[in-house]
Amino acid sequence: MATRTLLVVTAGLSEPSSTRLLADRLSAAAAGALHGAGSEPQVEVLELRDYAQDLTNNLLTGFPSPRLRAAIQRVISADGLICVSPIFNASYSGLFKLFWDVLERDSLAGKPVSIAATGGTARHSLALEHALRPLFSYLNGAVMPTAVYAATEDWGSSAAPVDGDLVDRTQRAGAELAAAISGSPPRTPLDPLDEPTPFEEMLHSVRSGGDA
Amino acid sequence: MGRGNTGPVYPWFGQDIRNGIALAVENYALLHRLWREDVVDWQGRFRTALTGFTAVPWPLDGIPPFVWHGSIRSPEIAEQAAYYGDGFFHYNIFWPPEHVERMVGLYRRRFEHYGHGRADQAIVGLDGQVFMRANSQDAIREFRPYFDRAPVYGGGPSLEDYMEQTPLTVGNPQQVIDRTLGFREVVGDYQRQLFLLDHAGLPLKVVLDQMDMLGEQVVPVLRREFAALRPSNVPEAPTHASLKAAREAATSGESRSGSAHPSNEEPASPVAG
Repeated sequence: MATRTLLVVTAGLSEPSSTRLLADRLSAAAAGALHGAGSEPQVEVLELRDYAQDLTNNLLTGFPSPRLRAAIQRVISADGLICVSPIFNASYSGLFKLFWDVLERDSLAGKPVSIAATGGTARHSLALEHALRPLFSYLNGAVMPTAVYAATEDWGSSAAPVDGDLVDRTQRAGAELAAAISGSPPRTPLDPLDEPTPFEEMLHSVRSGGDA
Repeated sequence: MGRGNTGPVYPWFGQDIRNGIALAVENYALLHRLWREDVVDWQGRFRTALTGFTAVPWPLDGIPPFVWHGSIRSPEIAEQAAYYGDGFFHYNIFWPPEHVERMVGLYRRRFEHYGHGRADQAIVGLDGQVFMRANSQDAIREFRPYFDRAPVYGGGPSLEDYMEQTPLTVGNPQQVIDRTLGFREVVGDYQRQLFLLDHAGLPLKVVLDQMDMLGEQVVPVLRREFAALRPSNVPEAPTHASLKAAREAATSGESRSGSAHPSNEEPASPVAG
């Protein structure tokens, strides 16, 4: 059974946060689907709250502290990501964005990404589509079609949301992510410090008008 | 050679920082030819074509200057330096040693790949930044307010964290010596060490004091220690004198040819303050 790593990146602030609760439901759904597909899922969690100071420092100094570097490395080497943010003032939280801002370009290239968000009211659910999805599309992640939003009322009870309930959406999102992970080989991102572009290629590329 | 790392600089020369690497590749390829070929026909992307062009003044004694390519984070520049068998200068001031090790390691590996010698014979320079006082606690106390407000670190990590994570050394001269000697454990035996002393907004008088301390108490010890530690098969950095001597030896047939970095009768100093 091949082991596939599923990394949850959550920007929830309280403990436990509803953001983390949603993340756990999603990762359980994805892990179950992966297991059903014959893989051995390994679920890990990255709480961005623990890196708030390191992220600010990285922004100011231009390099990650050793512990933040280790966290970034976990993201780069994961087979799939579940990225969850609370919605603040109509978009992802600043802490959430800070983390993706310190990644190198192409760190997520082709990586299956499931997005989810929490908020006080269902009125902000489209923040997933106008804020999170374009962010991960820009980072060249493979963003899953189903994004999951949980408002306060979803944790309650009898109120039946119009668009299928949270459980259904979570299962669907988890299944999509599991299928995408199963369908792609384990990723080993190319590091230009390990595999430099040969100089003759750079010269040729400049002459033919491309980027070096 | 450095290609310039801030966007606003490029437009002064009618250029665009997004072409930074491509410019460094093309411009140096041309310069490399102009220093070695009498009459050059050339066509490229970033400047007017040249036909039957001769660069003046011709390099002194017909020997092209030994070039160092400086970079803090562009693997392309390490690759460029390795391709030509030129020196690679890594700034070694703002980034952690793991990164320094990988950048210099890439240059050394590719230097060997391109047949200029073994990886441990590649020509490496490092920077470093220090602030010294006779008593290390005085150094910390005096430097901290500058550190906390400096444009590159201010508001970020503490001075202690930054010293731990980067080559910045604030302490007494012996601590500077120990830390600097430790760089060779990160990058291997290397040929040049530069020091950044005028930083973080220190007043001129203080900077001049620092230069005195560096010259009197640090550099003589480093020269001696580095020379004693360096194995004999690791060459000195080429200088005009050593390149000239090598050429004369080669033309008079007294020396085997093809040695990229021949030894030098009058050794270059390992430390340039």
